[in-house]
Amino acid sequence: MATSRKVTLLSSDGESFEVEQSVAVESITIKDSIEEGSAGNPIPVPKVNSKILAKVIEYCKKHVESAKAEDRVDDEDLVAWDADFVKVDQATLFDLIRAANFLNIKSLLDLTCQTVADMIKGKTPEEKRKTFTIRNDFTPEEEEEVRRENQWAFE
Amino acid sequence: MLLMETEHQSTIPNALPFNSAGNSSEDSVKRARLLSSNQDETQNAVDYISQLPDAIIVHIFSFLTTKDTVKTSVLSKQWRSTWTSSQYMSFSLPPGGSRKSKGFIAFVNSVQSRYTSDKLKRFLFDAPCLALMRSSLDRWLQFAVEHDVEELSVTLNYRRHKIYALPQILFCCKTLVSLHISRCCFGVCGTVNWCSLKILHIEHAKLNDDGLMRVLSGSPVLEFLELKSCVGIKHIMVESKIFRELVIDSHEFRGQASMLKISAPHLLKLRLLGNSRGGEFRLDEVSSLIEAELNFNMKICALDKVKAHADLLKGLLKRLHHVTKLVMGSWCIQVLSLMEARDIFLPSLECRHLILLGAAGHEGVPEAIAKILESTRLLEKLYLQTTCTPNPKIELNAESTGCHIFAGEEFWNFVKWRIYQCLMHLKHVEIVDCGANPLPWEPVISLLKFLLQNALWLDKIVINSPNSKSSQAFEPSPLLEVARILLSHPKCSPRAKVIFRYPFQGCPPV
Repeated sequence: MATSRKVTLLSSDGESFEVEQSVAVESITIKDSIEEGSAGNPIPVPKVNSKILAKVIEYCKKHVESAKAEDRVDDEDLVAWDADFVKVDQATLFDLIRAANFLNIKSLLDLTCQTVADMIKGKTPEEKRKTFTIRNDFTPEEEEEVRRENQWAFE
Repeated sequence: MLLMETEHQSTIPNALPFNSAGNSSEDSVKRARLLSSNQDETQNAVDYISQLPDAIIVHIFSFLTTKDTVKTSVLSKQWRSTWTSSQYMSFSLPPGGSRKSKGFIAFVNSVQSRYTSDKLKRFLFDAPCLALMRSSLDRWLQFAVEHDVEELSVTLNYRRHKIYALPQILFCCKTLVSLHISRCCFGVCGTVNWCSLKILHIEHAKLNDDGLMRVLSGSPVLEFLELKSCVGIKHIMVESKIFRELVIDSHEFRGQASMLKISAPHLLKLRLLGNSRGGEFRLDEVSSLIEAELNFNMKICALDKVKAHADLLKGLLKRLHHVTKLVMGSWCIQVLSLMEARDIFLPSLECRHLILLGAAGHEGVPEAIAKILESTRLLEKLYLQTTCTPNPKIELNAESTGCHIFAGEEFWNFVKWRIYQCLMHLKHVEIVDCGANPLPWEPVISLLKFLLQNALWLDKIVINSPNSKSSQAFEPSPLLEVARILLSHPKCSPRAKVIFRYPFQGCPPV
């Protein structure tokens, strides 16, 4: 593409972010609204606040740049970068998941969901409850019943 | 792929942790501060995960096995049956687990009977194939087919039992997009109707040409086919314009003078991998190929082994002369060096991007490079990559080796007149060191010095040591020495740069 077009994204708390169009269209939601001509300028992004939108833009920029660069070696660098990107507190992580879902950015959604899946794997139920602060509202008898229903999973 | 956002119907748990021991919430916050900032261990004030819409939770489940998914049932009342709507099923029983097989079968049955959705996206199954498993497996596969499964994988392992035959209903599953079968009997009786199938992996199967023909004609949108350790196929013929990539791994040749012929006029990418013996790959019709990988090992029994190996490689390269990206493994490198020693000619190649694997530490690598450079007049990119697996060697009689031992620079000066023209387009050279063993730099340095001195249009030489997985402490000093040598060497291209990339882990000061 000869010219680099820029678009402005407006977060839910009123902050504007100017980005290249090629970066913004990593989000299928934004891409569709631009193509349909219903975007408006700046493009409002409800449900996503400025802190999260900034991170999402950072992710998209990095991935668009890596796709342009030479193949092969950069793959490993990108994987390492992604791993660092998701080293955030839970509130941010889950906000990123919701943002990736709303904005329809598959690779970011997969990355964040995989991160949560990795937090679930290999933990006992007690550890899982602790990690995610899930309140156990089963009575001991109910819990026993559930365990029996799904016996093999708990062996 | 936008997931529908429907909020949970059930009540959202309290914002603050409710500690059953009765401690105040202040204490829990204090505890949270003392714990490390790792997101795993921090005591959060909020149960974020339970507030996620169902569709997203199910997407998270798609990254877990069914066993882990079902375990969430005990977390809280809200989570008790969330797992039943996960459209991804993945069951695996490790090989030694035959004692647990009855429980395993009951588990799979239970999961399938409690399934609430109409559709199944993925069904993965990996278990020993015991007698009591067979009829159940038939039923489970039928369940998958009835639920319009898209991605299916069946991997079995056996001790002494008869091989499992896939149910015929599987061959008419119109919703299948990706299928992976390992160690099953691929008995195609009737017609195959896989109208959505794009990806097919068949491993350890006995399949004859007729059976494969039926599979291919029943899969009109097939893009990718991998045949690993299969026996019985002699001819692969695919006319489809959509068929993009073919991978043949460890093909088993039976009988004398056995051959595997490949004709796929629209194929874009071909990979020949693994260990084979006593056979020949013949490429009949591959005119659309843009990328070819020859990373296989072939054991050939012949009186003149060098000629036999050389003939096989020459035959392949003749058919691949138009391919722009070529990847060659250690067998090819060995054969090339033997051909160099015996002055056997290679057909001229239009390759622009050449990758040599297992290259740097290998014997005979300079000879192999000289041989291949002689034929690649359009070469723009040359990558040498060490692999982590040891390279099997071609067994030869003592007399037929005849490799001369050249000291680095002498050798390159000797072959210069032959390969000089091929350096006309060379722009990018890259050495990638996987790091398992320390890289012997000597042969590489001579090559790089030679290229610096003679490649007129050279843009950059990149030396890459992505050592992130190496358990040994990384020693940058050999690299610094290499850097010193290369950077002080005269270069004929004014633009040429030498770039070093390695993970920075507290490098000592230069």
